[in-house]
Amino acid sequence: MFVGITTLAKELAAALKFRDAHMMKGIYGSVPGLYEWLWDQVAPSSDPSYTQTVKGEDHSGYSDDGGIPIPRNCFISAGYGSGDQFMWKLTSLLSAMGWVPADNSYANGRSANLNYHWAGWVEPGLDTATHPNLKAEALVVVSVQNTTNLSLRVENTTLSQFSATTTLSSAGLALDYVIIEDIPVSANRWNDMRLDFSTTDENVDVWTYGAQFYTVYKAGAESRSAHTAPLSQPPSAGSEVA
Amino acid sequence: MSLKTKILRSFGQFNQVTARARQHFTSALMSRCYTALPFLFEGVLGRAAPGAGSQMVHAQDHGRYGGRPLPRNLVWGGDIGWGDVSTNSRVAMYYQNVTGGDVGTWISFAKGLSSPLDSLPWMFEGYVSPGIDTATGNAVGGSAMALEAHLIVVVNQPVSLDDVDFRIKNVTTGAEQILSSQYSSIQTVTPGLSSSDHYYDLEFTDVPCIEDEWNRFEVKLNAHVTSHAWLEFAASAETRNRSEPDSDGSNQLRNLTF
Repeated sequence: MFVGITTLAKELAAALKFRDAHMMKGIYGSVPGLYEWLWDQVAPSSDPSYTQTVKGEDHSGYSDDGGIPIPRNCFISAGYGSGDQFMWKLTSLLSAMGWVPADNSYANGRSANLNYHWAGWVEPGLDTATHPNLKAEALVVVSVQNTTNLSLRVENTTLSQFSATTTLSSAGLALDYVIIEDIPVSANRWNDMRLDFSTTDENVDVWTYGAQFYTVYKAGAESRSAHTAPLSQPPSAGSEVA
Repeated sequence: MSLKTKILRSFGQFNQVTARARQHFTSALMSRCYTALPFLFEGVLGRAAPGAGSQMVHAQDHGRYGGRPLPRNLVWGGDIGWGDVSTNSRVAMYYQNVTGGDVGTWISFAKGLSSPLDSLPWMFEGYVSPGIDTATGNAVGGSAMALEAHLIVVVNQPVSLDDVDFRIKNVTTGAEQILSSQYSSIQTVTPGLSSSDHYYDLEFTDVPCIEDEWNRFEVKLNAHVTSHAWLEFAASAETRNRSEPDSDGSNQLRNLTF
């Protein structure tokens, strides 16, 4: 593909020369090819039968198969694995307590000293303040006892803003993966995050085993073309989404 | 109309026109191709397009306006949470009881681990993206490219109170030949006041790294008095400020007009 560009640049540098259709065909092949190599989706076209031909997946190295230049990010990854250990333990959670940190049972817990549990670096452009539909999601692993109702949320303590609330409501809640959505993020800096719980029951115990945070695209205010929105894709300023 | 809108609409036009043998095409069409191709190349790779005398597009910010196809963010991360609050039984990723001859010297947080962990010559391992290399280039702003890291440590000094220094070492095989220094800068904490557990949030902005391979890291500490130290959380990331290779381009993509 880039050999073609070299040829183009040299040929075009010679002014007042005729160009043939073969050269034009090379250009046509290069432009959609580059587009698809970059974004890993079909190049914009008025022809609905046109399909993606260039594979763009390998985003390491300069001369391999190509790849998408969009960072699809996990910006915090934390976990204890399995066994009888845990990251955080919250015991005797009461309904009257409202939202409390995952380590609230321990006076010397991390959030009591630092006001957060984890810190993760968020890349440029992914800022809730300027792009409200770009937010983060967290996947946490919890095990609970003595409740049929447990709510989770994440506070970005850097911003003093909260995620949406995820509520688990079923009998016999057990070890499970839970997704927490719409976590505000601030671009190009370390973001401090804290996991909070609340319940409408009494004497609830919660163990937290792990958490991963990802920047994601949330469909919403931005107008986008009809393709699957991948993780971490900033909104486009153009009429067609790259 | 934004620059990106112009460019992408031009792509649409490219596909609507069919190139046939022995047919003329307009110079306007060729002009669009000619501006689009170098833009795509330079916008992605951050270097002059093949055949170009100089780089025209300044490719730095790939969060929104283009840039290198580098997946920047978490290189490695881990957390143990926390355990019992009583000294010595606290759960941690790594723990050191710094006494005797270890006081006042740099030791690894992993020193003295029992088998099989004692056979590991590193504490963390993460893959660093191509193009992010401390030895070969500068980041935006002129400083050497590096990773940023975030540690949460707990320090307890039962006898007397004094500083504890922390730093991160790149112990990748061959790093001593590749890197002018294997060490980050030093972050110092001063517990002071009491012998209770003290939490510290440490940020390092200059962790040396080697591009396009698995990098191995070790966290080291230098306690100036007898100390208990726990490492509870660690994360390292490629960041725009410290890990983005500086561009040879002279123009911001967002400011260009075609």
